[in-house]
Amino acid sequence: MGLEDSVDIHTLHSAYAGISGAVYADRVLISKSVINNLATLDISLSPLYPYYELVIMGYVPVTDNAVLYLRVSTDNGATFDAGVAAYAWDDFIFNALGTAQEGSLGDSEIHLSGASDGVSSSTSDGLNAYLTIYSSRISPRWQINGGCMYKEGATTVFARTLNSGQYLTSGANVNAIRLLSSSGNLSSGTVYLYGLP
Amino acid sequence: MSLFKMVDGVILEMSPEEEASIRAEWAANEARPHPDPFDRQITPMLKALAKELAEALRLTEVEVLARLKISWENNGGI
Repeated sequence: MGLEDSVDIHTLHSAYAGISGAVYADRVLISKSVINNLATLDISLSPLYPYYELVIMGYVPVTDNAVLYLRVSTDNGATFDAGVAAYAWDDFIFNALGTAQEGSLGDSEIHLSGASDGVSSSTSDGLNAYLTIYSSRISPRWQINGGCMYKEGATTVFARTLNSGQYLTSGANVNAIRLLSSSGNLSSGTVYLYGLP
Repeated sequence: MSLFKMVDGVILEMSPEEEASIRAEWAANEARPHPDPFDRQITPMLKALAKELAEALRLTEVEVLARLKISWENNGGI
């Protein structure tokens, strides 16, 4: 198959019937949100896909060392659960000089940047993250996991984290997410949400 | 200064109730003491090691952990 067939390759990839008869399709860009001094960023998980990819690029908080939080909604964004033990989360934080583990079995949000040591507010740093959401359609509990890279405000070193978090209400129909900072506005950055059919 | 939210790409001014709620949450978080980043290094194994070193070196466990913290910081602790 030559280069001239590339269009046909794409067509095949978009709707390819595998050996089990499954039809594969490309991921779909649902939304792109450009942050500019926002207290909260709410994104609908609609339509309801089995999986989503949440990509955060160059996120910077207004307040140095503030933690990036995530909460979920089951009423299409009318309210976001901030119950004292609504979520569980863990992260494994590491760089070439060391490692640490943090987490909570019952918290009022999922932490995307550590327990209390958050993200540098320097615009030359910024947090980049690539996270997979396992939606209520396929998972008894709504879950998110993936990785982040950012410079911690507290220790001023670059860190990578492997993150996982879940909404503890089994069977909840999560249909929107909210990003917010533990302190102050979300200053800048871009957030992409992709659906995986 | 008013607070703004973005909902599916649309920027909206927060209601007074929403703004009061999030400002209260921020204030509560800011008032919370910031844990020492070294604390997350103190695993049960490190604590046991510090105890053994303290006995061997005739120091207190706190003194051993303080020395370990200096070493950790000097090595760019995370």
